Amino acid sequence: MHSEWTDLLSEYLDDELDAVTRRRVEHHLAECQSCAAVLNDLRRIVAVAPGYQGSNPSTELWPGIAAGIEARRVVTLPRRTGARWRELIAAGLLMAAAGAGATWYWVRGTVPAAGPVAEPPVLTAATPAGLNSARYDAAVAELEETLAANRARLDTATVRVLEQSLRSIDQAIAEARAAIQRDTANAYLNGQIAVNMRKKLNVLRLATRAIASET
Amino acid sequence: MLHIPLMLAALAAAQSPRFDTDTTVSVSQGSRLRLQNQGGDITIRTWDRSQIRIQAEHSSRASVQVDTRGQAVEISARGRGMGLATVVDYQLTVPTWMALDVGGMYAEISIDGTRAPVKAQTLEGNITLKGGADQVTLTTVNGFIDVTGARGRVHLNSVSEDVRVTDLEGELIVEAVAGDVDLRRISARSVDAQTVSGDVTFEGRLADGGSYLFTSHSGDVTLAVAEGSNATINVASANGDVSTSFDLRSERQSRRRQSYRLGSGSATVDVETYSGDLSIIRPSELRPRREADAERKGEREDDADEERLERRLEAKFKKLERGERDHDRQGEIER
Repeated sequence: MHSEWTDLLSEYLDDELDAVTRRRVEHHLAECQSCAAVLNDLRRIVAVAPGYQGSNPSTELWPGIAAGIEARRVVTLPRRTGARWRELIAAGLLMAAAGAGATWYWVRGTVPAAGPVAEPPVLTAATPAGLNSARYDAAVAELEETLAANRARLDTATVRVLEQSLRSIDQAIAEARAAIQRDTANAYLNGQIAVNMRKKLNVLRLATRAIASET
Repeated sequence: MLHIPLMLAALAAAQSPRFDTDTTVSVSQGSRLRLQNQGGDITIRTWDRSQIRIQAEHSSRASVQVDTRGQAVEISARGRGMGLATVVDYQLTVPTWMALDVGGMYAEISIDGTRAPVKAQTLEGNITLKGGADQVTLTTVNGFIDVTGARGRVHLNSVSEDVRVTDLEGELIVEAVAGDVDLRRISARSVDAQTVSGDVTFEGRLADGGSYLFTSHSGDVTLAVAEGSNATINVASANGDVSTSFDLRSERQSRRRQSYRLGSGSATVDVETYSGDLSIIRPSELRPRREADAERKGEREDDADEERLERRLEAKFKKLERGERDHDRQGEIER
């Protein structure tokens, strides 16, 4: 684990890093399993914290712990004034220190009450660490659907340019993915895949925004 | 295929005489301008007065409105009685200090001489900016971006065509898909330039402790760095080659990664490609390359310019026709 990178993960999850730093973090995550694991832990904590609805366990420590967690029941991480994710993990560790009962309550007793919590994506060679694959696919599908339904509203040249660009991006993503699978020494391409996936989203957003302003 | 001279003549006939609107309004220091133009070009110049001069070409059935609310000055156009958007070509003269937020669907955007933040977005058209400060954000889907002399945080995004930046001081992010990214005389502590299939060329000063990232999937990356620069250049490429005019030895070499040190290695330069090559050269070597490239591209660019002009004229016609149809429909309803 590298503190110079993990210190940035809170802002990374909140999408508050500038583009260069964000890309550097993604590059590091693509190659450092221990930092990627920290990111996944952080995601789990962030995912579980908003859904916590449990009642107090019979331990004097619990109210304090619960209050600490309650204060962080937010969907996105608060703006960074320090290493907030560390505080969240610390809260988890404190729970563990408080005894197995509290930990069990945290893990078992509270999550089901809040409904199913999506498992954070596991880092693989073809899934950039910074992107939730399912959410990304859903967002792309939705934007593509909007574009397809409204393409007649755009100028034909614009549509052609958009389609060519999207094809170029898809091809770049596919080539990079294939290269990684053929040869793990290409793992750095994870960063490029992430960039190009974001680029695709941006192009689709531009197009749909244009449609919105046209109407 | 449409014939451009005929289209130009028809367009001239279809539109009203020059400057159907010509008015000047006073603005208070610190105001910002917002202009969203559905169809038509936006040309902005600057002066030292605290006034905006608005000159516009449009149909006689359209009018231009200026709405001032607090520090925001909003310019918009309406077809009379309809509230419908119309084709307007704007020529504005604004204070140099005035922040600009302009956009259009089918618009060439040209801004000259501003020393203020600029946000400009167009779907179909080029964006040319001379000046700009603090925060500059330019986006076009189908057009090139050309920025000269900007200061501050600059973020440029062109989907289909080239991006060129000259004499920049500050931080720079450039995103392109099919176009080349050409960065000239850059003095920035942070640069992130990425394209998918275009080339990336950087010529400038690598600041000690600076951070630079150049990415192209299939295009080549050329770094023209001055003798005496201090940088660690990390290169990762699946299929590309590295060539350099400097006497550089790879310090850390694996199959896909190489690292080179210039001077103290203070700045960090990351270059990533999939199939593109990297050249690290001296600035003096760049000019002949650029000239050769320009010659090679010359004919292609002429064709592209003509095609772009044709497309834009066609788009304008469509807009005009749509405006006419909407107006006729409204007229029928009113009758």
